[in-house]
Amino acid sequence: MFDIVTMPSGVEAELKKKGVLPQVKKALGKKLKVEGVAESAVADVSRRLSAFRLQDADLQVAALATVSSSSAVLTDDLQLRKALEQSGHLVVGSIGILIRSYRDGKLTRVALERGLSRIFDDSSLYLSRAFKRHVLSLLDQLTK
Amino acid sequence: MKNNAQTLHDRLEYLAKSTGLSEAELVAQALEEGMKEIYRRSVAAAYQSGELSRAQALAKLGQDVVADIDYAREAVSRDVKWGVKGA
Repeated sequence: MFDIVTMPSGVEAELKKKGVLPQVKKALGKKLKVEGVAESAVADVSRRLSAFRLQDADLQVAALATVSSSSAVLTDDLQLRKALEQSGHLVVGSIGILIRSYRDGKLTRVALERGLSRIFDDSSLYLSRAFKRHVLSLLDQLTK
Repeated sequence: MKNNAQTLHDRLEYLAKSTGLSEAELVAQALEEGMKEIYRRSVAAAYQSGELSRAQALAKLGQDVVADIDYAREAVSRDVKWGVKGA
C-alpha cells in the first residue's frame, strides 16, 4: 500500500509506551522509517496550528508532514486531521487503510468488519457503532 | 502494564491519598464524570444514527462537539472513498 511509512520519534515513543511497537515493526518491516523532528520545527508548527488541541506527538507528525513529500498522512486523531487537512494534506485514517486492504484482497469481509468494530469502539472521533452501518453501506455502494 | 493490573480499590486508595478527598467524594465525582461521558456518547450515537436532529444534538452537546461529529463523519466518508478508489 505504501513503499515507506515514516514515523516521528515521538510517535515511536508512544507506541513503545503502549506496548505495540514490536507489532508495528513486525508488520511494516523495512518499510518503517523513524525520524527525529527538530524542536524548532515542532515549535513552528505549534504556533501555526495553535487553534487546534495537539499533543507533542501530533505536532511532530504535522512538522514531519510539512517538510516531507509524503503522499498521505495517517492518523485517527480528529484535531490533527483537521489541522493537516486545512493545510492541504491528504489524511487517511485506519478505516481507509482497512478498506484499502479489503479491496486489495489482504482482508476478508469478516476481518474488515471486526477491524471496523474495534475502531468504532475505541475511536476518539465521536464515532459510534451505529455509524459502522453507514460505513458498510457506503462501501457496498462504492464497490458495486 | 502495571497500570492495567491496578484494581479499582488501588486507584481509589491512590486518589484519596493524593487529592485529600474522601473515598465517598471520589466515587460521587467518578459517577458524575462517567455519567456525563456515557450521556455524551449516547447522544452522539443517536445523532449519528438519525434518531436526533442536528438542532437537538446542538442543544444537548453544544456547537463544538456537534461540529466535531460532523467533521468526523465526513472524514470517515473520505476514508471509505480513498480505500475503495484511492481518491
